Amino acid sequence: MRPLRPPAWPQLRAVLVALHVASLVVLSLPTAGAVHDRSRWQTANAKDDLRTMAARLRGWGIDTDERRLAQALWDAGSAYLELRGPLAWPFERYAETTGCRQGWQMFASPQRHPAELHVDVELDGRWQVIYRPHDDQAAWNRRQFEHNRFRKLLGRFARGFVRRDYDQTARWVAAKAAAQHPAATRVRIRLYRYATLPPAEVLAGERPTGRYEHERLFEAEALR
Amino acid sequence: MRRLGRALRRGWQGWVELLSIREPATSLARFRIAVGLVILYSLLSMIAADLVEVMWVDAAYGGLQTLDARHWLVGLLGGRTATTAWILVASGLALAGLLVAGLGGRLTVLATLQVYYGLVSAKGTLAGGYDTLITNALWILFLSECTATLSVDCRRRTGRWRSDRPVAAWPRYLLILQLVVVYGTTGLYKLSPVWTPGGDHSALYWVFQEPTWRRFDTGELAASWFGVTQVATAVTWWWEVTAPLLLVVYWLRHTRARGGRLRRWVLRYDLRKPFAAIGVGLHLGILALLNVGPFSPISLSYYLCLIPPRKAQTSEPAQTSEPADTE
Repeated sequence: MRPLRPPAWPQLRAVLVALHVASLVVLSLPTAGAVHDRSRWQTANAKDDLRTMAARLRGWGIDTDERRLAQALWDAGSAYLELRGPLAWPFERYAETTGCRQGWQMFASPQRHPAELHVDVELDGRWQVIYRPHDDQAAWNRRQFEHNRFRKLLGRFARGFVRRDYDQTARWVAAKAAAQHPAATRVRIRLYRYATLPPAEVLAGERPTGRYEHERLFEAEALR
Repeated sequence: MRRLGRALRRGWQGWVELLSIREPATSLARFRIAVGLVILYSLLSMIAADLVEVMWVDAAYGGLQTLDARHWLVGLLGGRTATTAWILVASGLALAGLLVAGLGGRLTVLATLQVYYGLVSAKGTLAGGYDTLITNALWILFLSECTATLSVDCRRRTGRWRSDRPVAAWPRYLLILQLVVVYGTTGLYKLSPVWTPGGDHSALYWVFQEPTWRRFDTGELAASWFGVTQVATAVTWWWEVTAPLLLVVYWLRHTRARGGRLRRWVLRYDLRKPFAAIGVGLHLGILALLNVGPFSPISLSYYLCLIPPRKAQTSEPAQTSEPADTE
């Protein structure tokens, strides 16, 4: 059956496809979340990047330091976002409705200060680690934690810590650990943060040492 | 001013003509099948890991996080409850099966999009770039005639599984554009000194040291092969930031008849092949070494759109309505 289409259809179609193309291109440009997220600018990763960039610019004869470079980039980001905002808003509703969202920030600044989720339970007054990533001796609930969606969520705590998300995750993990370890009196959820070692140190057999942060303690009975 | 007006008119006419090109639906059909399989994998992996009631149910109903319930389908089903999650997952599996089979035309594609989008719009931090690639693919497939061949629809219409009935080619062009935009913009995001020229090109070394993504302990492997990771970093960055040039190659091929020294020089080689070879190699490498879910499979699905259908292209007159269906 021949579809009923007006004679102007090719022109109309060209307009609609052009709008889709414009939406695709404009919405793929870095967003405020990528450019002006204060918590990301405070991460050890971002500070490393700024330090290295400032050193590189000084090497090219440009007088700057980490602080001034950060300010200049922040100001440039503000100017850019003022331009992007009005350009993007007509397309945002379209993207939200159709699912044609953009945003492709993949491994933009690889994590050099990862934070691993460690889960411990207290048994007879002694802490015992039950989950650590990639540790066969502490592999409780690995099937869920090592699914890519869970990994992504946990990885984000190292990149831009959101307290509410972390607290909800910690409580859910603790409740499950308490239910599956009936003898446990307490459950401890922590992030283990360390600096990744450079190649020479890895080859020399050194292991990274770090520190624990964002510790959450739960009474197991209260969670059961 | 008059010359500018003429140039704009000519450009617009060229755009209209480009979007009027028709071709067999084989590439779109292959892409449709691949997308359906990726959705099946995405949903089944959530069931296998027992995560449906963890990630797609609100914390108020026992889930992991407080979720967004604005999607119309989620609202209609009563919010982010376990019942809603399982209805959406079961529907998603059934619809993805229909998508692979090619039954139900655009209606199936639209329904799959709504169901999958309903699930993955729960919370940004629980979704990935692959979810966006999937929903983008479904929207373009909805706009296309992707069940014109290699489908149950084709079998019911013609008595055969395959058909050479030409369909609009522009959805395939948009999918190629999507691929180029993904790589081009991700390249622009990679401003860190570990990626960019002048730095030590150590980005992939750090990626392979990251416990979040690596599939197994690649720490020593990456350290032993640090030089190789540096070369791979440089190749990845240059390949990504120059990906938009693929559109120039396509344009030069499309306007081959105009001749000219630059056009002839570029067209001496089929530059689409090295672009695709590097991309496929990159995604196979990611698939082997990193656990980023269906990211590599859905990205590689888009590559199917780089393969033109086997029959010669035909074009409709730009200013008239499209020709009647041949079947």
